[in-house]
Amino acid sequence: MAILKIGKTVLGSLFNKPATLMYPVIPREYKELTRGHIDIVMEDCILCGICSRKCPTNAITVDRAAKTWSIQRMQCIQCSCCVDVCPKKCLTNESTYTTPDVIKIVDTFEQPEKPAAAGAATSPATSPATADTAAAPAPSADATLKVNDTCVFCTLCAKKCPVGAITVDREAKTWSVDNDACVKCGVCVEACPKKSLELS
Amino acid sequence: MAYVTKSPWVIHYDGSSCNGCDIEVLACLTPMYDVERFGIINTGNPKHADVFLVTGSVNEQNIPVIKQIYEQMPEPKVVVAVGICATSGGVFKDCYNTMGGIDTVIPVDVYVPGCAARPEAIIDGVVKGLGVLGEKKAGNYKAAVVQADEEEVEVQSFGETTDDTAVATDKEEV
Repeated sequence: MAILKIGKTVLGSLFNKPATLMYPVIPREYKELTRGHIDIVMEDCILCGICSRKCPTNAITVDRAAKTWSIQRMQCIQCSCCVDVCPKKCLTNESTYTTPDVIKIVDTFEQPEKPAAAGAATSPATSPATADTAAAPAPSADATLKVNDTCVFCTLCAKKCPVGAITVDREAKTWSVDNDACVKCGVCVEACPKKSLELS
Repeated sequence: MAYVTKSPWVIHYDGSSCNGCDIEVLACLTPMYDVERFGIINTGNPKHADVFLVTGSVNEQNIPVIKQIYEQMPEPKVVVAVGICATSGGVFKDCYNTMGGIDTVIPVDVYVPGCAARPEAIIDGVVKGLGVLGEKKAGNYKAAVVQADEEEVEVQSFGETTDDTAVATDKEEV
């Protein structure tokens, strides 16, 4: 009986493929959901900086003045936190990996000139996967934040604002926004429990 | 790459981390990835090793261990930092007891990103390290660095300074 058992194993070993993946010769194919590296569509990015604030390893740097978005590849842990918090859904987690290197790679992406704004406005409508962004307001860069009289001065908008542009005084019942600092990300509009904010 | 034909042996040390990269390094040695088919053996003796694989970040307690392993390895040697904790400290970067990446203690030659680093990435990193090892063996590693861009030169000089300070602190301890 033992012969039959070992015979089965021997025959299997003779005709089956080897268990080894033969990696460098046969490249590995990653699944769609594999967390490889973070990629960005700079046309859609509004440089709000929420990704850099939420990043647990401070791998992302957003420079609003220079209009650049940079990521330290040797510091990013591919947790997809930035992908989840991005209000414009312009970040994606690609399945391919950053290759090992002798230096600490920093990838910097520059924002292209303005004509790209039209592409940014149409992209949520064309892709059904981004239903959330399509439902949320997609304001242009010159939109301003407005509040109506249903505001209860709960300060949630001010707490959620990534750049601290909103000031709410509960005592004096005043609400104000610094239009120069506002990045028009729409986070406050989504956070408002009374739906009294509007980007237009 | 003539040096590579001489079966590079690795020594693996896991610093303070979640052990994810540690497990991936060991996965490279299993029949699934089987780096032993390239002659790479995970040795326990630093004096037999050519490549130092470090996973996890550096904390106060493992600084002397890492330095000792590094100093016991014969020249030429290559340090490969595997995983984000080893390259930059990762999520533990701001911990009170964590120094950051391995390059804060010893000079690092190759950085392997990933959290955890994939076995494929580790194999790629070691292969890249073997290129550096070959250049170090031939004695033209410095020349290769000077030819490269400025950033690389900066990293290399940084590595040298940390090495000097490492030796200096060791002398103080003695």
